[in-house]
Amino acid sequence: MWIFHGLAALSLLAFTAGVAGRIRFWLRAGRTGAAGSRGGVRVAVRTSVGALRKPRALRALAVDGLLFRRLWRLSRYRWLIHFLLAWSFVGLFPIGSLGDMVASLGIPLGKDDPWFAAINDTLGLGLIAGVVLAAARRLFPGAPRPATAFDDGLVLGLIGLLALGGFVLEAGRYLEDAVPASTGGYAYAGHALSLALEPLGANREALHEGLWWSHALLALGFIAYIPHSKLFHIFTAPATIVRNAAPTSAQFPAPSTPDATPVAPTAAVGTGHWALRAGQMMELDACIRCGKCMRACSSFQARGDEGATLVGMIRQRRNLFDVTSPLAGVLGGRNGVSAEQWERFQAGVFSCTLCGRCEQFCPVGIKTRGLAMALRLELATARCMMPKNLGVARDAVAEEGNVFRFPNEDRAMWAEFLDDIPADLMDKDHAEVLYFVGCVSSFSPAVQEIPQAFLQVLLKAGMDVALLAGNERCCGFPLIMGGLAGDARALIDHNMAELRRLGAKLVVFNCPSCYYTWKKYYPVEAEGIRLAHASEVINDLVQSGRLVFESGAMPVTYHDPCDLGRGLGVYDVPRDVLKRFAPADYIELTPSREAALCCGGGGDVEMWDPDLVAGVNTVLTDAVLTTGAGLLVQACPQCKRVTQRGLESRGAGVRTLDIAELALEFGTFVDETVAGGAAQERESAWHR
Amino acid sequence: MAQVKEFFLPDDLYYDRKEHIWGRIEADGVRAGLDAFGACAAGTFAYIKLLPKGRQVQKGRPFGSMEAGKYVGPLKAPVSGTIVEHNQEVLDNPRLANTDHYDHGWFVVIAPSNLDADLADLAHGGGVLPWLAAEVKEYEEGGKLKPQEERECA
Repeated sequence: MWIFHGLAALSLLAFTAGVAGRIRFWLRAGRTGAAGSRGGVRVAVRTSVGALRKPRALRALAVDGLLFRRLWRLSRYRWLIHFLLAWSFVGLFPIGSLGDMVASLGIPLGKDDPWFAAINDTLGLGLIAGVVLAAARRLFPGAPRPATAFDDGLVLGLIGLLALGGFVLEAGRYLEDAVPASTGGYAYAGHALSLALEPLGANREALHEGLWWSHALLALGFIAYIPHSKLFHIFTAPATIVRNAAPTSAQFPAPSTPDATPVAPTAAVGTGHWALRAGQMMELDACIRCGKCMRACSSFQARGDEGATLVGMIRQRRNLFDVTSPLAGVLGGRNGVSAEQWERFQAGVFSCTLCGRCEQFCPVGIKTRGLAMALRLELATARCMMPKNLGVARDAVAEEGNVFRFPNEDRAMWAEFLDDIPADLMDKDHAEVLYFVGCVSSFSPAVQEIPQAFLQVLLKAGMDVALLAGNERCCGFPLIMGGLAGDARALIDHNMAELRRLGAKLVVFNCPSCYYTWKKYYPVEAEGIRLAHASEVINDLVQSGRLVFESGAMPVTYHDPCDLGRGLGVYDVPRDVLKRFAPADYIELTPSREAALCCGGGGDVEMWDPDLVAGVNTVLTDAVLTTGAGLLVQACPQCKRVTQRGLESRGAGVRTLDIAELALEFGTFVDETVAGGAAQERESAWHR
Repeated sequence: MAQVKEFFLPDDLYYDRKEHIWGRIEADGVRAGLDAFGACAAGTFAYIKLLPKGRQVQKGRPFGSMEAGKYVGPLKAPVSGTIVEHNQEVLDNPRLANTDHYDHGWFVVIAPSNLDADLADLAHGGGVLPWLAAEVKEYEEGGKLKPQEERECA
């Protein structure tokens, strides 16, 4: 028996070493250019432990971590597989490993107790059923799924062998001990197997001993393998669910300063910079490679490249960086990293539109958009690996203040098309409201009617509004999304300085990406400055009676922009406007809200792969055409720019309008005194 | 006519060397458009916006903006003056700027205010060919333009 104890100690040692390796991997986390990996882990631990104090996190642990509610919502079949595997395993582990120990402590409980034996066999069969269903799913996938890795097959094979071996071992014990049916019958599967094996007439003692050692060695090997394989998600998935369940103040990584010297792409691990936080490093280990993110990804639908999906990015990221697990290296064939692997990884990461849709489908609640952004930060800022045109855009922003390299002094050219605008609109020393127009609205002729419309709405509403015109700079969004957050800092400082000079206490946007960036990255909250999107401004006017729509609306549908919906949670406000516009003719786009489709225009992808953008957009326009609506309303200039082109290229007779254009074209403004002056009161409802 | 590879540039026109905007001197002003090389480099035109008639423009400043497959940017005036005419045809069908550069694909007519001085630094006549050759070489070598056999320019 001492041999077994020795082997068990070795197994536990390998397990512990594996866990230590994973923690060491997480410890490498830290912000780019900062040495504070321990600080990063401290923050992660504090976040996770702090989260446990919150009822929401505990509830998530119970329903998502233990009962797999997210999986239930996504797929009953997958839920059944996971439930069978997880809970059968959890039940069998104490029975198999502790059963005899419990009896040796004098507790009247033995493996042959009827209920104990019945549960044991039932769980074993459950485990085998789970393995069979999982294998069938891999062998006969009904939908695209990630390529099966060696680890995937090995894990399933090990579990299956353990379960089958358990029954054979049980049968061997019954044969050796000649357990009668009156006792052994409760272990219905093991006993039936013993009856089947009985005619073999082998040396029963030797057979049982051989089976026992085989099973024991397999179990010990399995335990040792856990932290080196995807099985480690047993621990990291619930931890991720808890950590990410608690609301946090910043959903995306904070900007970093690229003060570190970039390292060569193939530099050894340890000399690189780690843009990921400890919690994100743990998310890499929490991914179970289920492929839900892949099926939710329009980029994958358009191009079929697994590398552009989160599961692909995580797989490649781990293959590139994870050298802390030699066992996994041997089993997974991770024997060195080539420049081509880096390039493939880069191509995948920069083919993601960062729409965040996959986040809604991840059964372990990984913050996918934040993770993808961190991977970009790591590539672009720390390793200088980025698409060429991203570098061109960065230089354009530095030189001209916008990614288009449009002369920034002509930023307000769109306003020159308007008559009767206040002469001092762009030269005010003070204004109550700043209209931050954004680059796409300012420069793209495809959508310049949007700022024209929104400005007129603001003026008709009687607001004391100003434009920064040539003094406005890019908000920083394309740089932050591109992994160049540090380069955005100067832009943030400049725009804030302009805002302070103007003294405005409200900043309004028609661009959700600018709105998002200001909300997440600009120090406005501390200075008591409110922000509002055009849809919120317009809804306020509508709800307060200042803006009324003519009757005779048409069938209309609405597309949620990623940064307004999933990014900032603004779903109902635009719908409230549309339901006033077309009370009986509003058609909800499917899918929508949290599961809304990406237009393709996000993540800067258009800069280097416009064909992919068009492909992604086709998925959206398919959905739009299915509604039968004649009017598509959007609330984002980039969404409209990409989608109207997509609809036009398909010859679809669907008109696209921004919500500001809708308000101007179909709305009638009522004098404030007539409307009761409620608009002013409703301002308090705007996001602070 | 200056020709480098598939790019034809009539040498009786005046060309902004950076913007590839051409100007043709006519009785009522300077008609402006984008030359074949500029249109090819920009990609397929999708949207064009032109400032209203009657607006004053300065040489080198935008008289409109364009969005094409590979470019979003300003259309800069080759000469200073007043916009007196728009090409509604190209506004309705921006691809004309790709397919009919010097005829139906023009943008505006500008009544010049300082014509002689403005024309001084524009490429014209014998200066067109060497400038165009240098541009093609630079764009091809810099990867801004695909090799000729892969290009799909009108």
